[in-house]
Amino acid sequence: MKDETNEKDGLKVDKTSRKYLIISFAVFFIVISILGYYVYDRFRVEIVKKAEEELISVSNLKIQEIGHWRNERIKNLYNQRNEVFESLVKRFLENPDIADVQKEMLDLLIRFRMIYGYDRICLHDMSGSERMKTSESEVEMPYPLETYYERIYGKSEILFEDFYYDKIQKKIYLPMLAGIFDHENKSKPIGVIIVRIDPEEYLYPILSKWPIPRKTAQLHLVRKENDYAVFLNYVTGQEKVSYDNKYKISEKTDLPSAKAVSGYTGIYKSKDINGNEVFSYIQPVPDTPWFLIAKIDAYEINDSLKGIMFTVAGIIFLLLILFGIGTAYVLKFQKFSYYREIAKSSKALAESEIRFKNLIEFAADGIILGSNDGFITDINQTACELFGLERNEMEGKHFSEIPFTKESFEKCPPKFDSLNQGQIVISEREIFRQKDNSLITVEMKTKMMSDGTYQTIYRDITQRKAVEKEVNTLKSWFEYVLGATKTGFDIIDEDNNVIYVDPKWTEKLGDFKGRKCYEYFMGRSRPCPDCSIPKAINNNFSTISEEYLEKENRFVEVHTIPLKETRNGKRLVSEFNIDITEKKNIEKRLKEFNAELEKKVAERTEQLESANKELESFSYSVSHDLRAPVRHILGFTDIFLREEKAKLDERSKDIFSKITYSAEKMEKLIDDLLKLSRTGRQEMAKKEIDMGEIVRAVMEEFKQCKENRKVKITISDMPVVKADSNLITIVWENLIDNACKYTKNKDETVITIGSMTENGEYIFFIEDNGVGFDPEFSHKMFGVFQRLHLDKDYPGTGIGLANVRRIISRHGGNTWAESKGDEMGAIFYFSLPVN
Amino acid sequence: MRSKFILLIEDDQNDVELTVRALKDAYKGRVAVVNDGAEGIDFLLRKGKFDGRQPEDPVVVILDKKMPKMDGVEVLNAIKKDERIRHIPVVMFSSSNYENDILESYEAGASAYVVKPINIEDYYKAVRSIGYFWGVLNEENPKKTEG
Repeated sequence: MKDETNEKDGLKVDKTSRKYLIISFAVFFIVISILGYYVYDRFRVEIVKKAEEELISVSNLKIQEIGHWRNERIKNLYNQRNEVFESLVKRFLENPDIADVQKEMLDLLIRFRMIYGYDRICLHDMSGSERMKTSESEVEMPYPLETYYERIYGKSEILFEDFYYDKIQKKIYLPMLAGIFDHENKSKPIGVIIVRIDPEEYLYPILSKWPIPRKTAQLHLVRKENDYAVFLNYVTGQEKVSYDNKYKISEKTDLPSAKAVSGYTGIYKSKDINGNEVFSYIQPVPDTPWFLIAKIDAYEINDSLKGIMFTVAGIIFLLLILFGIGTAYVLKFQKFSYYREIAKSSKALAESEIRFKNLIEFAADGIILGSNDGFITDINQTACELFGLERNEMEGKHFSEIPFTKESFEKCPPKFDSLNQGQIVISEREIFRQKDNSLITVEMKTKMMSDGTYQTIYRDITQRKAVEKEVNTLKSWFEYVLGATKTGFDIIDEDNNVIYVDPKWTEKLGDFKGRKCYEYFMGRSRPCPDCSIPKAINNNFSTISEEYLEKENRFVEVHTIPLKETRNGKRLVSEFNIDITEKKNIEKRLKEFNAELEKKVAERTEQLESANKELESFSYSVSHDLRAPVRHILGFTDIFLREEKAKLDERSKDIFSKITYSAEKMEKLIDDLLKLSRTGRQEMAKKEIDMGEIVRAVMEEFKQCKENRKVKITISDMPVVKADSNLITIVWENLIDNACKYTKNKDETVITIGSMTENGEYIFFIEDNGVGFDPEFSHKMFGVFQRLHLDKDYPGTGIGLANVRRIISRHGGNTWAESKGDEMGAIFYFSLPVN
Repeated sequence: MRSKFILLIEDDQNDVELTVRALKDAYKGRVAVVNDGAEGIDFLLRKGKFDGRQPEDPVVVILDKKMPKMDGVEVLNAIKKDERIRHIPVVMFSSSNYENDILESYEAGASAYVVKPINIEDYYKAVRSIGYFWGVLNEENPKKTEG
């Protein structure tokens, strides 16, 4: 069906092109003919013009030559008639019989005739009689001589006469006359010299010569004689000789010669006297009654035209043949290529149809074609998959049967008006996929074609929608976090251009497009002096700075983070601006509070210093004032005992011994109290100390502990700690002294000293197997003057452990003691911080 | 021949008795005693009631630190500031073993600082040692001038 149509079309095309070809051939023929004629005509005009120009120029040339020849003749005669000649003529006329003169005259005339080629020279006297002649033959003179006399009387010029016919000689001649004057009387001629020129010999040769080769070119001299036009020279084709050859003008007015004698000047085209068509140029010969006709037979001109005509016709013919061949070839080629094109295009059409079919079939989008009444006519595989239906389930169905959800129609109602206007309508629809009952979202593009059918493209955007939703959720979270943490977010490029600002902040600060960060956020006119953007970009790490936003009257902590992305080739940073105004306010309050505190501390320090001073003077008093009476008691008791010992009984001695003991006890108490007070006030010089070394050195001091006793002392490894070595030494002195003291009644004394690390603290301990103590009172162990044993059993002041506690507490540590009860031994602990 | 003597400046009479008693054991010379600082200076400069005393300087001044009116360090300062008597050695003899007191005394120019021991035996030993050292062993500074 398709092929037939194509062939029909082909034939139609073929016919049409042939028609066009014939028309174009005809047009070409006409054009080329016109062109040919035009060329021929141009040539013709040119040739005629050339011929006319030739006629004119030859005519002019001949006129000139005739004029020149005539002037020459006149001049010759004039020169000839000189004074010598005139005097000879005078002499001859006066003395005609003198033979010498006669001879001289005749010789001269004959010589003249010879030199100038005159036909005849004769000399007349004023009576009109011929006195001398150069030829004896009978001639007829042109006019009665009397007429000459009148004309030459008083004139020196030469008279150049018209042709005249010598009936005797039967020839035409040209006569010239010159007056001969007496020297003494110039006005009165004494005779006339008449010379006769044979034009056949001297004039006509001029006319018979055409300067370029011509077959039919002729020159004629004509003269009007009464009603007649007379040909002065010979006319080819005429039986009559010249001068006899004449006709009545009124009978042949169209002849060139008739026109010439009637006064016409110029180019004239007509038949000549021979009846031939001629081109002639007619003009009068100046100073003469003659007219010169230069003529060429028309046929000669036409002859050269003929050649041109044949050439042009030949060219036209050749061109037509070439055109014909070309046309035929084009026709043939057209036909051939037309069928080839048809073959090719029908193949290509089939292929492209398959291609497009595949393209539609495997398109990523679902495509449905519908009839103008809304029925599905074609559907691709993607659309079937999209709707979860088989092709046969879809084809032939109405569009309204596609399972769109109602909601999507409410959300996006159909736009039939736009469709009818030929616009592409884009809408979003939700569809229940039949196969798995899932809900998908599609973007639908529908267009009504010019024939009223529909094309609809469905794109599955379910995933895109999900991503959009996800992105929106993330965005809202991000904005929520920014809001909740009072954080502003922005992105700035390396040239300080603001690229992005979070919407909440924009609400406050306005549009950021085309603005610089320092101007937008800070209200400055130039970049901030310590801008962190170049730092972050150049070093490629995040920076944290604090800024005061004057525009908003708040403080922010700015985290500037370089980004990997660029914008317009410029590097970017993101900034989190965390509001720290409250923190700043707290800091400010804290500062104020600190200042106040420092003031208070200073006051307290002052108070403490004065208290210290009081304490100093107190301890001074104690050391000085309390010691003296004790010393005095001891001193004077001693003196008394020394001096009165012999007189004393045992009772008295006992009393004095008790007095001495008490005084000594008093002395010890004072000393220990002073020590305690000093350890509390003494400035600490903390340095690294080896605890083991100190313990061993102290142990050395307690040699008496081992005297007369079985003692086992174990000291394990101890760490190096940072502490005041003097004070720590006092601690160990007290602890070791205690251990020795309270084990003195044991058969074997066992003392273990060691350390451990617990909760970032060093814990030191000293364990003995001594009397121990009642754990109920362990809290009293470290109090001043607190004692758990009788002085008589274990003498002491009750200050040692108080001193230990004070020293350890000044080092930031703790002290405690453990015992399981009486005679169960005791462990004393103290701790020191590791740092 | 001029007789050597020791000047004891001490306000506590009990201490004076105990000290003088101990000094006598170690030293055969005289012991002059004044009871307060001002008197001590007057004595050394032979002023006031000491105007007519013999012109010699003591071989040593044993100076109690805590005294009413003018305390020991003030007296020491006065002695060491006065060209006429600054050459006289001064031994501070005090109940205080308080470090500041000791430092203060040495800075003021004390020749020695002895803490009064509490134990009476030690006390005697200390005083005797002072007397023996200054009164017997030590050669006086020849630079001393006649008053």
